[in-house]
Amino acid sequence: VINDGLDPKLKDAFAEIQSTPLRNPHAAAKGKANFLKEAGGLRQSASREEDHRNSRWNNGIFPLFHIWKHQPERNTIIAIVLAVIVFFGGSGLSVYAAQGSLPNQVLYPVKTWSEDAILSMIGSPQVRLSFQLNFSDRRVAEMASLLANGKTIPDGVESRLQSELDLSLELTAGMDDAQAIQHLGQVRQRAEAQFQTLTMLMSEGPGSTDPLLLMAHVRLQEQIQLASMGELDMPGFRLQIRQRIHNQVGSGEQTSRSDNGPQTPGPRNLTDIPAPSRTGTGSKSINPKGTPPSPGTGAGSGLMSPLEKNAPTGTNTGGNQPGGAACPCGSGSQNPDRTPQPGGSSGHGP
Amino acid sequence: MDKEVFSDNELLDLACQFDHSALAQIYDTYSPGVYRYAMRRLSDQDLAEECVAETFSRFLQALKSRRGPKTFLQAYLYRIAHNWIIDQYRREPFQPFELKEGHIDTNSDPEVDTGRNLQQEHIRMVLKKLTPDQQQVIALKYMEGWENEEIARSLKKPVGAVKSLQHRALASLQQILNREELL
Repeated sequence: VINDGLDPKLKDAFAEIQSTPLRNPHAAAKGKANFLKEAGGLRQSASREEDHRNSRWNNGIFPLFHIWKHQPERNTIIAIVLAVIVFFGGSGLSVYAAQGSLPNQVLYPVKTWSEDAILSMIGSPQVRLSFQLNFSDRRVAEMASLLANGKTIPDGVESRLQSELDLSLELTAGMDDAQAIQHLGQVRQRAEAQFQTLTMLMSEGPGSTDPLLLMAHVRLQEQIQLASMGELDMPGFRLQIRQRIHNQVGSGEQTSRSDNGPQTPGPRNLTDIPAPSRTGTGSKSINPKGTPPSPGTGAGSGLMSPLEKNAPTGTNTGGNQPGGAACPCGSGSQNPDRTPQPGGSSGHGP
Repeated sequence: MDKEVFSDNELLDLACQFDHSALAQIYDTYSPGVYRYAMRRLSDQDLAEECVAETFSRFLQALKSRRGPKTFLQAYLYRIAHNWIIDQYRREPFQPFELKEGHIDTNSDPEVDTGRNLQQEHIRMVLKKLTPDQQQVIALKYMEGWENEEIARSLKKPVGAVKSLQHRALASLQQILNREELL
C-alpha cells in the first residue's frame, strides 16, 4: 500500500481499516454458484434470442431475397417502378417550378408542355375550356411581365395566345346550344378583360408599339365580337367557326401554329362542330371567302355587338363598314403575314 | 486434469459467449478483491457479499446487452462495486454501530476488539464525508494499493484528475481529523 509521504495520522487511520476479516468460504461458494447459475440462465436466454433472430431472418427477410434472385422479371418491374417514381418525382418538381416562368426563361418550355399535357388529359369540353381560358390569361400576363421588364414579346407567346383563343371558340361551338351560349358569355368576358389589359399596355407601356402586342390586341377584339355573335346567333357562329377552321387548314396556318401552339386540345376538326341546322340569317352572314358582309346584305348587319359600337378606330378591320365596325369573320387573324393594319384596312375593298 | 487459464482479454471474449469456465475463473480471480474492497468501506459482511453478488450480476447483464467491458475487467468491476456502495450510503445514510458476529474473535480481548472496531467505524464515517470520487480514490489508492493509472481507468478520468482528487481528499481528511482533535 502506497503510504509514502502520508501524514502519520492519516496513515494510522488507513491502517485501521486495512485489515478485514476473512470471507466466509460458504458465503463465497454460494455467491459463485449463484453467479454461475445466473450466467447459465442468461446463456440460454441469449441463445433463444439468437435463434429467434436467425429464424426471423431465415423465414422472413432472406426468402424475399431468394425469390427476387430467381424472378428476374420481378426485378425488372421493381426497377421500372423505381425509375417512374424518380422520374416523375423529379419532373414534378420541375413542372411546379416552371409555372411562374416567363417565355425568355429556361423552364418556359416545361410550363407550356405541362399545359398541353393537362389539356390532353381532360375529356370534358367544359373543363377543357375553363383551362384554356386560364392559359390565355397566362399568356396575356406573360406579355405584360415581358413588357414591364423591357423585353420584347416572342412570337411563340402571341401565336400560342391566338391558338388558345381559337380553340376556346371551337370548344364552345362543339357544345349543345344551351351550354355553348352559357360558355360563350365566359369566353367574351375573359376576352374583354384581356383586351383591356392589352389596351393599357399599348397606351402607357414601354413596348406599346410591339407589333405582336398589336396583333394580340386585334385578335382579342375579334374574339369578343365572335363570342358576342355566338350568344345571339348560334348557327351563324358555328358556321363561322367551321369556316375559320377550313380557312386555317387551307392556308397552312394550322401547320405553322402547331410548332408553338398547343398540340392536342380543342376539336380542331370540322366534324366536331355541329353543322348549322338552318340556313337562315347566320349562314347568310358568312362569305365563303372570309370577307366581311356588306351592310344590309344579311343578318350579320343586325348582329352588331356592344363592342362593335365602341370599337377603337385604330383596329377596325372593315373599312367598308359604317361606324368602323369590325368584321366578325376574323380576317385579321387570317392575314398571312399577321401584320396589323392600324389604318383599319385589312385589304378588303368595298 | 489442469484447469485452462485464460488471459484477461480471452476471458472477456469467452465471457461474452457466457462460457462457463471463463466466468468461473473471472469470479475466482476478482470476487475476493471486490469483497475486501466492499468490506473496508461497508464493514458489513452481509452487505459486502450483497455488493459482490450485485457487482457480478450487473456484469452479466452488461454482457447480455453487449455493453460489457472490452478491456480492464478489474477496473470495471470495482467501478460497479463503488457505485453500489455509494447507492448503499444513500439508502442508509446513518447506521448505529453494532458489533456483528463476524467481528467477534473468541481468542482476542473483547475490550481491544471493541476499541478497534469503533476506531475503524470512525474512520469510515470520516471517509463518507468526502465526495464519492474522492472516496473511491482514497479507497483504491491507500487500501487496495492501486496505481494512479489503474484508478484513472476505474474512474474513467485522466490521471491528472485522479491526482487532483487525491490531493483534495487528503487535505479534507486532514482538516476533519484536526478539527476533531480540537474538539
